[in-house]
Amino acid sequence: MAHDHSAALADQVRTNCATGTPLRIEGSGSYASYCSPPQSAEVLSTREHHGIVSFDPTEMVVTVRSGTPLLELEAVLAEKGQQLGTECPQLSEQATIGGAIAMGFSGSGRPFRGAMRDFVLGARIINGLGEDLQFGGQVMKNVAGYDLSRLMVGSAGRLAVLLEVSLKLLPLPEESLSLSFQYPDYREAISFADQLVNLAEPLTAASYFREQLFLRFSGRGATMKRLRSSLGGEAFSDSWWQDLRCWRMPWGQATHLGYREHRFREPQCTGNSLVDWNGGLVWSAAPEPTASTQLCLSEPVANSGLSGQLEQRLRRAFDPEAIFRGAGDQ
Amino acid sequence: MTGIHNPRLDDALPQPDLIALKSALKQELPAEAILSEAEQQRPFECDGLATYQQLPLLTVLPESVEQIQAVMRICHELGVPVVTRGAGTGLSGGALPCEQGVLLVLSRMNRILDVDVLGRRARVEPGVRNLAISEAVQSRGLYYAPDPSSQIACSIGGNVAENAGGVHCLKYGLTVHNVESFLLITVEGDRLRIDGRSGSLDLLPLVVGSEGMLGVVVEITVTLRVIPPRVETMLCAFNSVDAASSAVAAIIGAGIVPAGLEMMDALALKAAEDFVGAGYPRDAEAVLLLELDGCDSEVEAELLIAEELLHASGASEVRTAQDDEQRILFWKGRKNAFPAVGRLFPDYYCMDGTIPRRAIAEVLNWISATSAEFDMPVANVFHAGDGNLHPLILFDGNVPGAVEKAEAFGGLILEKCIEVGGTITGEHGVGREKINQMASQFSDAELEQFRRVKQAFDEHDLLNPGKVIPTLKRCQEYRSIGS
Repeated sequence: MAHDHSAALADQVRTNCATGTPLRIEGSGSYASYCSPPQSAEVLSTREHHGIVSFDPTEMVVTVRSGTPLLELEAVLAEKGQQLGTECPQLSEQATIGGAIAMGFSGSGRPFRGAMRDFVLGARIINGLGEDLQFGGQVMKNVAGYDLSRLMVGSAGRLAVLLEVSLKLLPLPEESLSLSFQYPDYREAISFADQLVNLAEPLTAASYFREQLFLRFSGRGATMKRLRSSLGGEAFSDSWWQDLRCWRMPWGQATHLGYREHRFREPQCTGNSLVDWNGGLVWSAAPEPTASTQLCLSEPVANSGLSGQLEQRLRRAFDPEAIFRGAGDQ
Repeated sequence: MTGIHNPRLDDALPQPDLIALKSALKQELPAEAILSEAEQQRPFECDGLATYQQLPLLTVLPESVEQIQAVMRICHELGVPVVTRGAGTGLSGGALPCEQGVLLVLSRMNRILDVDVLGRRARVEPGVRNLAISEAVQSRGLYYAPDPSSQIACSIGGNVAENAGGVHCLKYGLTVHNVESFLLITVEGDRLRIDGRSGSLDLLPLVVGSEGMLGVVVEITVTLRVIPPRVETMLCAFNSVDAASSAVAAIIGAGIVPAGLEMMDALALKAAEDFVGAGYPRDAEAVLLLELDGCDSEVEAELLIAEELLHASGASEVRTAQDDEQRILFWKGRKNAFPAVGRLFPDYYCMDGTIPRRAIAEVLNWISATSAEFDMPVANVFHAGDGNLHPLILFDGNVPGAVEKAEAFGGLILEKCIEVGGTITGEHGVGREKINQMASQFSDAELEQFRRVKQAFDEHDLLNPGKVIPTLKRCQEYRSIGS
């Protein structure tokens, strides 16, 4: 059942704006154990605000309300042979598209297909004054005004309430093929994956864990057949990628995640670390962040200096009365 | 002559102390990098949209990030507006100088600083030409994907400012999809590294396409891609624009993401054929150029699917380029279509609305009917795959009132784009040109949100004033004329 709760959500923001009562925006709450917005703030739930607003397969664009579960959305798209551009985390069955946009994680396909923000075309939001605003649109190219819709990606409830988002979609591939290869040397493994990229083979994921390189290809049947017979390696189940998507690491639940500038440098903790994004991302079970770790999900990201000040001013631009409380806020 | 600035509709401009400004700039920049005479500044008085012309107070040509920081610090201190300019190929008057401000020309910042072949990225200065990046990395099998028609001349800094697209952005994205990080100089002259991951908000997409109003981008790391080993280009002729439009929908609906999918109507294709002899069928009402790229097996499979769909959609002819030479010729017609159409009339006015693909036929038919009413021919050459129209309104600027009439017609086209669920600009930017139509596309509350975002970066409105975001007065006047 589709439900449009935008008016009620805007009313609540206006009420809290008038009284100065803090709000924390919540979808399904599936990220709650990774980032903790202050529990003292009142909850503004988007879960009831759900349903697909428009989906025209020949446009390859969907407009969807923020509270719509990812599972429901993806099933509707798949029926028409389409999919979201990213494998955004699905940390629970109720995980919503709004949460996926707010957190901004792009999943294993990022270096090959693009980041979450790359697929955002438009957004309808409620700012901290309770105003219902629309930016971007439903078309592929749009440079009218500042791009405030892509800014929502990763904003983690600190700028505005997301009401609707319009996303560019991708066709579902005719077929996919997952192959694993033994590579005791990490650098050789990444170098092999890189050669395939240089040949324009349709790689859609490449990860490395405990001397094994895991590759996924997606495309036409004839290509998959050719790769299967020419590359060797072992075919393996797609559940590997589904586990990564759900942050179910081979050693248990994920604890740390870090971006790497140098894809060819060896992972620093070779035991319990999993490299994704063809070398660009490290998941690690280490209790403390490694040297290359820049973002630790379990701790708030520190804001300092100029970018911190600018971010504060930007938050006040959306939320002049400072009522939205997000990840990292007191 | 009061210049472009309209004191009744635009915010008041500051009245800077020119003598103090000059003497402060002379401390930081070599004398030859500061232009103050009208004759010296004449080449900079307009960008690619030559109907708007304005001399700045001063023009500066810095050669280093430090010099840019110094210029920004001085201007901030003295309250002087700053308009940043790249190669000046923009089509919306975004780099139009401010009569009371400094024009910051970045053409001397034209070095490629670093190419990381393994990481497939390059760090470049903003004045580097778009095509120069691809030329520099071609020997390593790499290229920079966004390819605006002006790519021979336009600079990457300008591409970032306008979020430029091109004929291949359906598959490979706009500028925002192809940059990893940059160094921004704030209005105060401070350095800010923006890489989408340090800090907690992703400022990268906000700064891309902000038309020089949030800061000055002085160093850009672009993403490079592998040159596809196989490229096939098909030339498809149709007896009607409607049939060509339905072919576009069929191809996208079948799960093919072409590298390029371009449409030309009868007027445009004949002009292009006369100009470069690309081999386009003159008797067609529309042609599509369809490009597929990737590895051999993917391209071959999709070529078969596409051919079948094109015939089923009523294509009267489908011709696949036999070799690179013919492929380049097919594209030469498209890439030269603007100048080709320009030979037909003394002047043309290029529009840039984007619409949902399903509305292409409707809008093209509407344009054709309206063209007859205005008695001004329109040629259509555009990115059909992503619904980005480029109607070229043909007129003779020497005829009294013709410029105003062409602008009025253009304004109606933009309104039509909004009406069918599209936008007033797909890739050229709002600049000065489309500032009025912003009042149609956005509500007062939305425009006010833009203003507050601008103030977060630039409290005193010194960066590119009078562009993109209309004042409330301007909105009221425009909306009252419309109703």
